[in-house]
Amino acid sequence: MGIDSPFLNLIKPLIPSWKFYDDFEETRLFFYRFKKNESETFSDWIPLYQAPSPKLAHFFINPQGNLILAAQSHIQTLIDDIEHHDAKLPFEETLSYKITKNFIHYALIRKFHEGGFYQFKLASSNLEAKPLEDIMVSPLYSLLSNIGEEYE
Amino acid sequence: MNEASTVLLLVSKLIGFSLLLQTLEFFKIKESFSENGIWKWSEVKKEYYYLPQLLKKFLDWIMSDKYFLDMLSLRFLLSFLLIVFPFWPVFQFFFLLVLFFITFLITIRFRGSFNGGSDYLSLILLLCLSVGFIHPILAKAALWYISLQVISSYFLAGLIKIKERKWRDGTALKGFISSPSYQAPLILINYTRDQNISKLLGFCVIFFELSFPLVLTHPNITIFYLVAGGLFHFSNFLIFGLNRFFFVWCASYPAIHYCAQLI
Repeated sequence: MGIDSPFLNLIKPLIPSWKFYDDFEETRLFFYRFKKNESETFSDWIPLYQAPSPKLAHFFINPQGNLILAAQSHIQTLIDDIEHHDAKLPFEETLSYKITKNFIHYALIRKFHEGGFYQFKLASSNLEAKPLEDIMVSPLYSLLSNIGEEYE
Repeated sequence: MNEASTVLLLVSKLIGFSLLLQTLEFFKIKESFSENGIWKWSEVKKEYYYLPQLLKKFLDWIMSDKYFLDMLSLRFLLSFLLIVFPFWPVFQFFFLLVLFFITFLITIRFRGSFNGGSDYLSLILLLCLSVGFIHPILAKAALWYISLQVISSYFLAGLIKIKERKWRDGTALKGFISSPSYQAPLILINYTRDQNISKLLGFCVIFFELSFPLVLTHPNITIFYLVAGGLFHFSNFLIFGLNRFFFVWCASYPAIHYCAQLI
């Protein structure tokens, strides 16, 4: 259950609810598809982040693993915000969407240095990390700029 | 220095070590919270529109790429000093209080938290410890408060799980372990495909969490639960990659051990 007052939200870290892995539903993942230029067809949908298999070397310092865990925590916030979205504001203008787009852009710009075009979505996933049911699908974006400008 | 102060100092050093590691992790992913990254302050700050103007100006200043990194450097330094400094309550109080405010600002920077429960318990430990260094009586109260928060963190987590049918029949544990969000060891994924094994493991988790308050009942039981707790968090690291939880929760264990001895 969310906290409505923004002030209470601010101090929420001081009054934790201690819920861990309490509610298992379906797995949701971010997926993307990519093409280098306009004339190409898009790739299949590919899962964006999957936590790397933890190694003992990561026991003390696990920056990438924790970044991916943060992305997974963000999925729950995003879903909550989709459910409680006030239609007065386009969803693309919300902070949850912007952070989602930044997550995707941050990952893809490191993967495809030469740039291109991409689209992403949040979808439920089967155990093989294949998308099942779409929850949110983005417009097309250009990876050429640093900010991921909308292409269409 | 009385016994409560000794334990307070030990917990401070352990949380200092934990914050040192956390801060190193932040340095490694500093791009992610820059203006070219994921949590751009220019976007996140709109979430805090309701704050007084003066506070918003302060946040704009401290959350800028440069000063935020400076603040992390200060966090690293203070964590190190917390580990190496001998007992000198005024200094420990000061280090812990500043670390509390920095850690709180980090939760704001990441829109609530970066690493969920480990951020929350870090804040509780830092605040309680700083208060505890003010006076020996407060030291005892701080250790008790830390112990009760940690015990309730296990107990409440277990209580919520036992109410869920999917946890009781093993579906939830199997689902989390085999989820493509994580890369759990293959041997564990294969074992938990058997519904009976996942049900048994699920019950072990629930039993451990729900019975954790027994940690205060007898010195041998205390040792048993604290060792089991360490193994529990280590296995969570191996399955889900939750390394921060191990260090933060284990940092609190001397407080529980101390309180158990008092009963």
